[in-house]
Amino acid sequence: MDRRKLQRVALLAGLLFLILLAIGTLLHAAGEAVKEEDQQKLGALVREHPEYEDSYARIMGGDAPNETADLGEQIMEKYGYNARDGGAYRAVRQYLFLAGGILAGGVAAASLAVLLALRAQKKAEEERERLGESIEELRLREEGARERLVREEQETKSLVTDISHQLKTPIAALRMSLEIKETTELTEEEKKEWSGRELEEVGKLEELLNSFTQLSKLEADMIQIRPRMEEIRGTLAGAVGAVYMKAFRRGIDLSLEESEDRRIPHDPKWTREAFANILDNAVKYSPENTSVTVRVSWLASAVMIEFEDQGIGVPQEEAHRIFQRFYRGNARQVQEGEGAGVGLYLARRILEAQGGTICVKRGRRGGSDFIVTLPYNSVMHSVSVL
Amino acid sequence: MKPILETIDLVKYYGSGSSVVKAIDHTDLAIWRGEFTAIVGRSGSGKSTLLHMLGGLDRPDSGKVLIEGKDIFKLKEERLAVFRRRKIGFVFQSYNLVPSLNVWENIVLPIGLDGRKVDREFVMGIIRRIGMEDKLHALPSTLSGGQQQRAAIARALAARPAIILADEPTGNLDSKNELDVISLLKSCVSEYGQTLVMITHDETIAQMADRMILIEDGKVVSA
Repeated sequence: MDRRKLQRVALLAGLLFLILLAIGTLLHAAGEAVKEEDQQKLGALVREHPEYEDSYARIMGGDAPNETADLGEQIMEKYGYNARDGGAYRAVRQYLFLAGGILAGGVAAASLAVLLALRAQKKAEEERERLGESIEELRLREEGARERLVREEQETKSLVTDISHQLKTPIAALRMSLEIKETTELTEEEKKEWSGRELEEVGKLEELLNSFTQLSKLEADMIQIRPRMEEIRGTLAGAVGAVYMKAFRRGIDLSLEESEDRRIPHDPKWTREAFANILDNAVKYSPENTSVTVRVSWLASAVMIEFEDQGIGVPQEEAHRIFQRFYRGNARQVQEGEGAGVGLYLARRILEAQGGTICVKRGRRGGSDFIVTLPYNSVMHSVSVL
Repeated sequence: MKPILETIDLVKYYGSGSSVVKAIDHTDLAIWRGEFTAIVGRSGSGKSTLLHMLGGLDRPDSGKVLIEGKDIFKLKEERLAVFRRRKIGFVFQSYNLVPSLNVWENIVLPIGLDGRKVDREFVMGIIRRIGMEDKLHALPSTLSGGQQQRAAIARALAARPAIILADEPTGNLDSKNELDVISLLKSCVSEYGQTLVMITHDETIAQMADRMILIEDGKVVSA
């Protein structure tokens, strides 16, 4: 029994005691009134007829035969009196009414108190149930987060296998080229061609290594997103700058359309990295002499950034998978090109960690339109991507 | 780990004889905690019926719906209503805001119905997030479709249910408002650690989900 409950029981017991005390006092007072009247009557009778003193005292003392009540009533009626009008009778009636009132009031108050107590108890029980549910909810959420961590850890283990597998192809090509140069008589022109291919393979290796470095940072929880208020176009311009030369070499026109600029909460460094990954992907899978356009629009609760190209596009059935880790498209250009299926996955993780989203649609001029959103008001504390 | 939401051999047919419509045809499904699942399918594929069953709004002919391992159709009607109110938030295509209540009153309505105190700071956080601090006293009829849907999302989030079920939430919106609303739903749900199940016919939206479930003729074709 807790303290509050004990208090309530004590209060109820006290109330009951008070009621009984009041009723007892009233009944005692009523008895006193009857006694006083009897004594008064005895006194008056004896004063008028002192000679009958002993018989009056005997009768008033309680020795009155039962059948004399009828006679008494008849005499009262004869002289026009009514016993109910007598002083003692009136006093007793008043006292009884008072006692009845107190009893009824007390019972009503007690039932009200019990009712209130029951309701309070029910409410407390509901509150306890709800609290229990919230605790369970929290526990389950934590469990979910832990499960995800375990799952991702297992995936990381397969990362090593994947990386070595990805590195095999360019290394085998390099080895073959070197062996051919070693063992075969080649003309200067042929030698030059093989060297060109070797350089290409080294390029692929570099690119792979780059992706893996980013990925390992992500998996090792080294990417910390620290949002701060910054102009979003500044971040975008940085990303455009990072891929500009690559686009230029392939004759791809990379442009950031004019628009209003605003400060929104984001981590400039990593968001630039995400944007650069999307742009790099667009440039990589676009034919020469096409264009990649970046467009900024302001929605009700988020900024929308579109990266539209005239490249090979993303088939509808692959669209929801290109943001998965290590996923590489089935198209020939994707399979032959360098890449580890990391860039877009990383971009998604960085954007989502800031409350943003990414998706891809078919572009208006063929190719694809990658659409990114970042909210104006998001969680402003730093979050780890993992 | 157990799924937060599960269907076991769920069946719901409409009509009878040769005109029977198999809205849900022996469907088994598992949705995991914290996941954003998109249920995709053509109109008439049984998606909405499925969502209504998941939320306990409609009873199946046979089979079970388990929420956190509990068979919700074994609950008495009254208990089911309470369970639904606490565990599930709904977002509908038609917003379903109460026309005579203003934005704030609509948002805190489910909390009041559950007899709980309103955590003003938490609810204001959501309202700031949806960008409607200046519309608190506006009636739904004075708002645009996008604003109404954002208010409806805030209403679903404010009661902090474990699960949010959204039925074509952007069906009545243009593409910019659609993107705004979806990104809002997605990021809020992950910020507050909730589970989101969304019905859509739009595959672009489905891309943003962690998982896509394709429904055809009342059956799960791919998950």
